[in-house]
Amino acid sequence: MSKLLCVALCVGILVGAGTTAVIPVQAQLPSLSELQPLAYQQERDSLRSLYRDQIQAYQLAYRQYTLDKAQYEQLQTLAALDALVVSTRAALQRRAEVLTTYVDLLHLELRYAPSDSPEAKQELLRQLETMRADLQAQTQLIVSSQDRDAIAERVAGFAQLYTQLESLSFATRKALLLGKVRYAHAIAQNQLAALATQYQENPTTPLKQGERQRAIREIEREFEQTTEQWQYIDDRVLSKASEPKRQFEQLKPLLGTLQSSTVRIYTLLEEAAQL
Amino acid sequence: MKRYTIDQTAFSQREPLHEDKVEFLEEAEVLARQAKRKRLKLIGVGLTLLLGSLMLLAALVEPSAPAPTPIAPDEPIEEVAPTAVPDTSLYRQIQAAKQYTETLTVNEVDFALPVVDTAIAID
Repeated sequence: MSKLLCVALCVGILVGAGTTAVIPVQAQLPSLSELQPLAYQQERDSLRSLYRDQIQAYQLAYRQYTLDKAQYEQLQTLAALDALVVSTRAALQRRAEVLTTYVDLLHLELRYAPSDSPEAKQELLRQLETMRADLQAQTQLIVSSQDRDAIAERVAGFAQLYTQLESLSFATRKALLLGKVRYAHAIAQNQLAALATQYQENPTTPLKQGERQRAIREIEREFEQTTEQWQYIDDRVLSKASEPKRQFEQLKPLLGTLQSSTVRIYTLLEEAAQL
Repeated sequence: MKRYTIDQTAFSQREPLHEDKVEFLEEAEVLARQAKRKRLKLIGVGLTLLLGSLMLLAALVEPSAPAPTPIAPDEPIEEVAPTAVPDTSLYRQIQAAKQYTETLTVNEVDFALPVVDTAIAID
């Protein structure tokens, strides 16, 4: 009888210990509702609507530009050239407007996105603001361009600006994706810790306790794998200085895998929360 | 006088009520009264039994709650025993976070540079 009691006591201690050894809780993270408040959603919807309208306006202007260009190449008349100057100016203006709104969308998204490097985020936001100002200045110059030479100057100015914009776009997308996947992973860690606490506060039958313990172990195993993946990203990709476009292209599939692993962890957490 | 005679004749000719018949009627009246009392008694007993059984049934279906014992000011309030019901708020949080994570790479496409002709020029 006393042996049986000892065995039962040992099992109880082991089961209790199994639910306590979990991933440590991450630092205080903002909740999903804090990340995406109503103001953000309203601004995003408004910008997306404007963006769609501007893309349509650009496509119309661009179609007119290609028609006028073909006509000028065929006719080579002053009238055809005048028409081409007007349509080129319109196409340049619409294109600059589309890109300005695109920069606004990136800025908004980055502003509300989670980030593990606030300094880098602030620097990117500042660069996006500068880019926006440059694009607006470019738009003003385009509007005031009345002849072929002035248009040619705007075209040259845009080429340089677009190279910067492309680089900035990749850097921002990298920061966005990296911040969001890291945040999702950290939230999952916190939820596992919360689940373990919940188990401790709500004891149940030894059979169910065993199921809970197995669930926690399985989730911890998944976390071990994702931790290795993060380590690889930190050591092999982020630590090396390379062009934003190249780094983004390297990171995207790796973060895609991590995202899938994190979704799997959430599926396990969902099941475990019902035990 | 003539009338008196006639009445007298009619009276004398009338068949007298038999004593046995009177006795029988009285007895019948008594028996009828007794039967009525018995019927009333039976109805009363039946109603009492019906009411009693109904009360018993009601008591069995819905037992009366015991009177609550007042808690003394110094007496510590007994803690509620923990249950194994999962915390639904945590479950909801997990679901929301999962949904957020699932859409990350889908939404990422929205941030790609717009497809525009970068070579717009007159020449």
